[in-house]
Amino acid sequence: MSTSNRTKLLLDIGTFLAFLVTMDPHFSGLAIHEWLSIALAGTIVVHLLLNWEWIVNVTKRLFIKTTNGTRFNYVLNWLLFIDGILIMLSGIMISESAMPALGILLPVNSAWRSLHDVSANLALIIMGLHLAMHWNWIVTTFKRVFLGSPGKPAVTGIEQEA
Amino acid sequence: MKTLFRVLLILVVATLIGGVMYIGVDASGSSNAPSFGDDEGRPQLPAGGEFRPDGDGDAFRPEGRDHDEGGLGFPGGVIKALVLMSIAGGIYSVIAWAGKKAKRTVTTT
Ligand code: HEM
Repeated sequence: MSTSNRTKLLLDIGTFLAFLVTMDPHFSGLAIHEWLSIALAGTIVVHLLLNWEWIVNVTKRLFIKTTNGTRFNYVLNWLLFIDGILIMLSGIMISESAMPALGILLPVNSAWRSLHDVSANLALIIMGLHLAMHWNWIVTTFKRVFLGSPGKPAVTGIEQEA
Repeated sequence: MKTLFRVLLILVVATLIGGVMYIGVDASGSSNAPSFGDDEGRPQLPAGGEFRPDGDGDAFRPEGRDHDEGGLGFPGGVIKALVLMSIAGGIYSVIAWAGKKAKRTVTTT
C-alpha cells in the first residue's frame, strides 16, 4: 500500500489528539470518552495498515538481521497494541454509556475498573517512548507538510533499517 | 482484498489477545456482583425486559465515582498525560543520545 507521509501524519495527529481527550473522561464527559475511544480503535487499525510494510519486514527479520533499536521498537509496538486491547476491553466492561445505549449489559467485576486505570496509565509511558522513537520522522514530516520545508524524505533510523 | 485480509488479521489477533485477557480476569474470580451467566441462578428477564438492579442505580457500580456528564472543566487528565509522556520520551531520548555519544567517542579514539 503506497501512502504519502502526509496522510500518515494527519491520521497520527488526529489519533494523538483523540487519545489525549480520552485520557480525561471528566473533561470530555463520559459519553464522549466512550464513543471517541471506540472510534479510536478504527484509526488504530488504519494506522497499522499504513505501516504494514514495516511490520511485515521487521517481523521477518526480527531474529536474523536487525538492530537492537529496531527490536526494542518492535517489542514496544506490540506492548502498545496489547495494552490498547486491555484498555478497550476493560473500558467496554465498565461502560456506563455506550454499551447500555447499545442494549448490551455486562457483568460487573471490579477488576476491570482497576485494569482500565492501570492500562491507561501504562499506555502513557509506552506512548511517550513510541513518540520519542519516531520523533525525527514526526518533526521532519511536520516541517515538510506544514511549513513546506524541502529536504530529504523523512525516515527515522529505525524505519530506514526495515 | 489484501487490505480486507489485513484488517481481518488485526481483528483476529486482537480478539484472541482480548479473549485470553477476559478468561484471565474471569478466572481470577474477583467478581463482586452476580454473574449474568444463565446457569448461575439469575432470574430470567421477560422477553424484551430490561435489567434493573435493586437500589438507587448508583449502587450497581459501587466502585464507580461521581462523574460529571458535561465535562469541559480543567483538563487535568490531559495535562497529566502530556507530562507523563514527555517524561517517558525525555528519558528515552537522553539514554539514546548518551548511547550514540558513547559510540562516537569509542570510534574516534
Ligand atoms: C483509548 C482508549 C481509552 C483510554 C486511553 C481510556 C482512559 C481512561 C482514563 C484515564 C480513565 C479515568 C480513570 C480514573 O478516573 O482514574 C477512564 C475511565 C473510564 N473509562 Fe476509559 N479509556 C479508554 C477507552 C474506554 C472505552 C472504550 C470505554 C467504554 C466503552 C471506557 C469507559 C470508561 C469508564 C466507564 C470510565 C470511568 C469513568 C468514571 O469513573 O468517571 N473507556 N478511561
